[in-house]
Amino acid sequence: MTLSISNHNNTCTVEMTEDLTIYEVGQYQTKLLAECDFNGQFKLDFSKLEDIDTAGVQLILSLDKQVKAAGGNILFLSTSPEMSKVLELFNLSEHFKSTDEAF
Amino acid sequence: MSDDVDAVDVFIAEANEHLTLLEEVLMEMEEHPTDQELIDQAFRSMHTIKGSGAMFGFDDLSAFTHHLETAFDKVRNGEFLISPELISVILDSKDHIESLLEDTKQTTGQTITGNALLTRLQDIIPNESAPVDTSPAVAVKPMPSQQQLDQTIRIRVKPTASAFEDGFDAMPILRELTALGACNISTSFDDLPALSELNPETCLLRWNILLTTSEGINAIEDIFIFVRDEWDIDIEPIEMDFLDEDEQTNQIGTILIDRGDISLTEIEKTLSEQPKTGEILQQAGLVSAEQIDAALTEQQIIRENKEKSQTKEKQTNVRVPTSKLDSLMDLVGELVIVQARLDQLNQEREDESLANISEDLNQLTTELRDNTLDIRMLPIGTTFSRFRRLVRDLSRDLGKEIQLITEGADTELDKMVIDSLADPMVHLIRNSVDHGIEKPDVREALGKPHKGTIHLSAEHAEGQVIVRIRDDGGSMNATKLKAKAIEKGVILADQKMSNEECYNLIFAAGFSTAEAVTDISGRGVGMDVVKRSIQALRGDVKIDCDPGVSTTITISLPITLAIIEGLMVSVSDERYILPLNNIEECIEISRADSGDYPDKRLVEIRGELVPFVRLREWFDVKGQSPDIEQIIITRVGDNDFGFCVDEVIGQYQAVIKSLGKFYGDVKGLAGATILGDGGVAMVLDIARLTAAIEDETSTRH
Repeated sequence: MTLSISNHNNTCTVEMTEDLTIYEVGQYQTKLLAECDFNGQFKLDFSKLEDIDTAGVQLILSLDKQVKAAGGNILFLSTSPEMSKVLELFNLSEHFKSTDEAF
Repeated sequence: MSDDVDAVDVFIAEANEHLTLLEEVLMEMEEHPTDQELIDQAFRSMHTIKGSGAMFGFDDLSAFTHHLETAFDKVRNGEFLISPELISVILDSKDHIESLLEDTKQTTGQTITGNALLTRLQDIIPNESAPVDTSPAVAVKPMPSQQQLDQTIRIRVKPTASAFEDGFDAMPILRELTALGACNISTSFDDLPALSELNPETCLLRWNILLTTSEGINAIEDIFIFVRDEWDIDIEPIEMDFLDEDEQTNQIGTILIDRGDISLTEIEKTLSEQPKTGEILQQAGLVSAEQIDAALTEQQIIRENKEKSQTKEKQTNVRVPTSKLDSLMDLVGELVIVQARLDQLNQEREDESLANISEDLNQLTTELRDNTLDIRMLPIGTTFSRFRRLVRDLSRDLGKEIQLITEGADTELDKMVIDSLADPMVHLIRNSVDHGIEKPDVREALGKPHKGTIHLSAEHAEGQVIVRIRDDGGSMNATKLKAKAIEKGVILADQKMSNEECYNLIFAAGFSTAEAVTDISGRGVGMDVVKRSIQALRGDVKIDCDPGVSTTITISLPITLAIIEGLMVSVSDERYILPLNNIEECIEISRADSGDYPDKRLVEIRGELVPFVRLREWFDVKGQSPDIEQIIITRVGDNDFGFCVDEVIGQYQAVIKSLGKFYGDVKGLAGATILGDGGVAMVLDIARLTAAIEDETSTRH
């Protein structure tokens, strides 16, 4: 599995590595819904993500809605060059501010 | 009348640019024969040459290009595929068009060449309608200018819900759109549910795109070619005029002010208290805050584009002859010298107002200098593209298969350096093709890939530009080179030499190792000329071989020839300038430090021993060293070297003047500069000076 989730000190940290594409989104959705604590802080780490397609971006946007609905916010810990390129293409970099910019 | 002549000159210059572009595109096409963008580009170039040729009375040229364009249009429409034969004919046609540019009327010889080319073309792409005839009778309508104005186009993309499963992703499509021009993409995900409600394999995202491009609607439609039947796609140009409503409201206000009914302050106050349209709609629950933001962005972009299109004509490029740039550079050089004189005067007189003027002028001069230097900078890629053709044609003539890989084509260099570099590089590349890379059968027998490779690269390093030409052919044989050098009397029979030194023997005058003299290279003149031309540019050339595997020629060049930032130092009354980009640090040594060893040539810096030389001794300057001396530590490549001087004066912009031939033999001088007080300072070439010092030290031992 290339998705790891940890819930510590009221913070859920999700790390996605390798690929996040149409082939993974189904499994990831199940795992995220089962293991994430949506009631605290939410942090995403994409530093090792190698490939993402539109289905992957859609999954992240939908996850963002879920977190927002619970009153939280997603923070991007760091993004791989590939992920940054995609966020820039979709004009979503502002939407997902990374922690570097937030502090 | 002279306007007409100027216009023709401009046409010729532009046609030549299009021909160069056509050649580049054709070379690319050899590797990517199905790339539609390249095909379109080639077509556009032909079309422009034909159209403008007819307008300026180049009827023969226009008629010939018309045939070429007609045939190529069939390739563009997919009726014929790009083949190596087709590319060859078009390349030859390109050369023919170039020759037709020399005069409006073609010579008999040119008519024959043209007809022969068209017959070759017809063999590949038959022309059903017209017989081949390049006589000027073919009427060609002057074409409207190809340069279309930028247009802003709104594109709405809504993929089908099954898009992901169908294997169609929007990402590559969006990427292609961004390549067409300035693109503002807004990803809309209002319909997207939270994760727990999502069917992740259904596509629910939509995009609103504002694209400003000169490519036209067709180019955009082409991008959606595979999905346009299924997806919901809406492409429409944006009319620029609707925004004027804003201005009209202002006009009503203006009228009311003019009539004295209301004051400007009152209007502004009242308007600022009104909620904006977006806020009203948002409060009414008709639109979301995100939608308002997206619409505002769109409005902003449209406004910017409108402003841009209004000022478009002002922003176009201006063509300037190089001679004008050169004289501008000379004048800037003189100005820098005058500035130095003013600085000097300022230091002598303690006058505050003079100091202010001098400081202001200094700042302006530096800016002017940097801008002028920047104008002269060109990417080296402009020369790289011509080598592609050279390698292709030469390798065909010699029955070899060679690919040219280029890297760092956008590395910038002074135009003058680029121009002077072209000829030596042609020679070096010819050598690689002719002597370096073996024929395919020989290569296969040696277990090498069938196709040889010449790798051409450029990069900036330590204030220099490094150009490398590497071929994977059979390299030179050091022993053979040495024997030949002894035979030709270039070196003495008992001279000891490293392999590297042997390889560099080929730069000695009158040295050729080719066993058979071919048309291409090996006449024994050349490599020494190459070296001299590069040295004249204050550059250097070196050759290194990995026996049997590869040969690398490294050319190092200064980025500019005209002005350098340097550090001025003095030894007795003499002043020297060391280029700042070579300098690492300055340290002090006192006589006490070197007390017992006045001849000491090493200084310890953070535990490392660095060799140094006293400029006083090297240049034989009279006088006594002071008690405390300064060592300037410089770096060339990975090696540190120190120069010991009496005093460091400070940073100095040096306008380099070349030294006459009397100084030609003095190694390590880049030139001289005239100082503010009218004196002269030598500008040191650290790389060559260090090499010369090391040479001398090794011969002494």
